[in-house]
Amino acid sequence: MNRPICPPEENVVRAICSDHYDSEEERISASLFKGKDTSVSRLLLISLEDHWDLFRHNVQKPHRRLELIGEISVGRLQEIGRAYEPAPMELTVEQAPEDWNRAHAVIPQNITRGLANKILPALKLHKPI
Amino acid sequence: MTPAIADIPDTYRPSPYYVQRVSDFTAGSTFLVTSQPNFDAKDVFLVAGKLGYHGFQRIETFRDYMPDWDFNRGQPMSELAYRWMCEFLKCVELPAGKRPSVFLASSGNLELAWEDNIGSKYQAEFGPSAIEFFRDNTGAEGIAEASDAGVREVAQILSV
Repeated sequence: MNRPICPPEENVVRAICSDHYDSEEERISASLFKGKDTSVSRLLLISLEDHWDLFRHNVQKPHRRLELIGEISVGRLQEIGRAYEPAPMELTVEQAPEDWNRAHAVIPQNITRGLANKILPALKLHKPI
Repeated sequence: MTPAIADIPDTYRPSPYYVQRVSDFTAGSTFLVTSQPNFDAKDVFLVAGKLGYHGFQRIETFRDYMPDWDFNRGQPMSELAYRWMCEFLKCVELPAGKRPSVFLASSGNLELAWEDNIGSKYQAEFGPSAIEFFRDNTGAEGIAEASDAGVREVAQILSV
């Protein structure tokens, strides 16, 4: 199935929950981006403020808290993928709307731990509002 | 003569937690119930010592996560992963004054992450059958078998 591609100018966000974030040490797990079909959400369709509500209702679970939202542009994500040594990767963000989130999108490529570690510092982190 | 526990190969030792098969005759199906593990006091002391009370408490919280906690991908925390993480913590040499963070992956694996005093990243992810490792100042990244030898190998790679 061919899914529409998000352009480099678009910004996407990812929920960062307590299982992937240690608030005491302020560390984020590389698992946040490691692997394939990583879920993100498009700011073009839903504002950051509304994403807080959306994620609180759908991503939070008993014992699992939404701690932060990480934002990055598709273009920056692609730059990091292309510059990654020893294995440059062409990253894409593909639109994949779901019932609970019309702005849902995925990064289909299988991101390695090393590459995920390069993406994490590029995130703009938003604290709860 | 009854052999000492130390003489019994790992595969013959009792599981740290029991698995009970339950039959639901009305629905004609079976399912498994897994007990909470019988925690080894030495492991609790080890984890609290290396990860601090905060890290220990995070693991306790991960044990309470409901199934499907990450949409259809959130697996319960693996107790085998916990066992390998404990073995690793016995062997690894951490930078002075650094406490690793512990995370739960969607697969149920446990992950440790820390930095050395110049900010280089060290990470290990423990699963039931494999241990993934990463160290950015040497470029070491790979997967080792989850075994006593594999734990020692990864601990050596990630020791300062």
